[in-house]
Amino acid sequence: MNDVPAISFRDVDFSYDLVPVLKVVNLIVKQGEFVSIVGPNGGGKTTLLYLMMGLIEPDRGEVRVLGKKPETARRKIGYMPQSMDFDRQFPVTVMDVVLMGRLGSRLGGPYHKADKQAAMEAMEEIGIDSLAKRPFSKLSGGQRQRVLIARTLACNPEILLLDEPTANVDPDTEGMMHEFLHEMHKRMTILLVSHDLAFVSKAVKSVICVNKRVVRHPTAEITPEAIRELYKDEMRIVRHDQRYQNGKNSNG
Amino acid sequence: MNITQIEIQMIAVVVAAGCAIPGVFLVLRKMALISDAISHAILIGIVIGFFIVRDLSSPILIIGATITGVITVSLVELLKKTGLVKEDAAIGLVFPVLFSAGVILISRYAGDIHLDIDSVLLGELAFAPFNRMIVAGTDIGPKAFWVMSGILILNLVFVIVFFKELKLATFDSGLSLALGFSPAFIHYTLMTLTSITAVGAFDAVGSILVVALMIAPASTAYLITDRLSLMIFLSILFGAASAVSGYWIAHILDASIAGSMATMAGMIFLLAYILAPGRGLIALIKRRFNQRWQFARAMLAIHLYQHEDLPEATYENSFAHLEEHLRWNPNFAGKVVEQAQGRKLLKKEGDLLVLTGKGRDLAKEYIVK
Repeated sequence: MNDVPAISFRDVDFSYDLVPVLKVVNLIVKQGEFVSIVGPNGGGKTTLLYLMMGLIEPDRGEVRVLGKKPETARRKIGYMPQSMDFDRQFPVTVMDVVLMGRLGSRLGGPYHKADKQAAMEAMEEIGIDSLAKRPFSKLSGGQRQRVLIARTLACNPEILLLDEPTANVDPDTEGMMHEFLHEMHKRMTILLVSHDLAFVSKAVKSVICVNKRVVRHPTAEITPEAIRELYKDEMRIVRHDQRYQNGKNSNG
Repeated sequence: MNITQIEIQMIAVVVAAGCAIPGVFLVLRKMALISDAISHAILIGIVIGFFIVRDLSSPILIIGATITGVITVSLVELLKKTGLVKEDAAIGLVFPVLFSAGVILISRYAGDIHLDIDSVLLGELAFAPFNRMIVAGTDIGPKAFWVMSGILILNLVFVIVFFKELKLATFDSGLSLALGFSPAFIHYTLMTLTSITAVGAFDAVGSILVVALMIAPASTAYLITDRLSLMIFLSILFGAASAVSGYWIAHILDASIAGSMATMAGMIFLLAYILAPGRGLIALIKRRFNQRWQFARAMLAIHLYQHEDLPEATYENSFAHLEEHLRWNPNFAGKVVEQAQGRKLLKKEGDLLVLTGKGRDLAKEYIVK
């Protein structure tokens, strides 16, 4: 790792059809950092991720990933989308799903040997190599989540972008996610989009709050007042054993 | 079997196989209805193409119809994107307009030629062998066979070359987009192929039955396999089986070949729906039935576990008490206890039910959950 920031935004504006979504975003995420992105639905979290992956162009300003243009650096990013709308019966094996992480930009033709090798290594790392040939549809929720993690690792990423990895998972899987992120943090930069502030406050030191403007806070400063300010009326706080949680399990 | 019969079956098989391939992805992408839209809307493309070249088997017709197919899909997308109508309504709005325009054109201007609405809707496979493919003065077989074989190969090549992209874009369009790989490319290519296939097949089986041959074999295969490559292979196989069996049923009943083929495709689906291992109706009923007993055994184990080694155990864990505590009738309770004994979950000591180590493990397993 060197001094080039993993992610940098300089004076970035972005709007959809003239409706401003993000305004004057200045943001630096250093390599090796573990930060969380929080904010209300429609606040621009997904837009921020898309800008990082170069799927959309900013109206103004500059986005850099590992010092390069996002389109160029995209393959260094392991992205885990929200996993709610999969067809549970879709005819794929675990290996098929993990291989999808290797698709990269090469169009057409079968996967190479190196792709299969990398997919196998990713599965071994997560401890699911024995499931490789199993149909994805026959797995439990926790196993599925592991497969999606392995898929994210299959491209040997330097940065992990995880979109709500703990939405709709049981406590066991959440614990597993926690352990996994802790382990991955030793060797890569992690950005985690989450509504689950309990999960966030245990895992990360710094939080990026997105609601048209983007502000960074140390986790210690995340008080009920700060949350209320960010989410406005859209939330309720459920407090249990020192945890704060956004009441709506939403998917923004 | 005479040569015409063999040729009709050959055409039927390539038509069914050609339709099955795009069908798999339409079914997986939950877009089965779009095949209905495309297969109807291409009529206007065929009619306009026909007016230009005055030949029903000209490639211009295929090109014209394919363009209309893609226009149909684009119009549906456009309407959907306005957010004012839902996708199914958008489909229902777009294709009847295009289709009826085609119907008006035919009835007004093509009354005296071989292009009537019946043949467009239902096709006539029995006549297909009469239209021959002549290359350098040699008759190499029915034209429909060669056209549809070409389309089948085109579909196969597309699926083989872009297999991994198709799989990703269909399974998880979100990730596909994030990898910088446009799901729209796959979408429109697939729609183009669906249109080409529908045009190629309409001559033989008509535009309505194309839908049956695209959707039924793929839906059947979906019930049977967990592998995409196998699903494609099985769809082709089921399509071909419907084609041949349909032909012979039509022969025996002296009925429409295309109609019999589509009926057979439906029958094969029905069989799979009832019998498919793991997912069919029978497997489902069996599973529900087993689950009921499994649940009862677990309830019993948990109940016994909660009270064992406590003073009230002699009362709580007696067989007679089950009726009161678990609200089981003695007959049902007797069967559950018998099953639990058979599985070595418990022992009977007089009237008292005593958990074995295995029974205790079962109870613990559920309690932890």
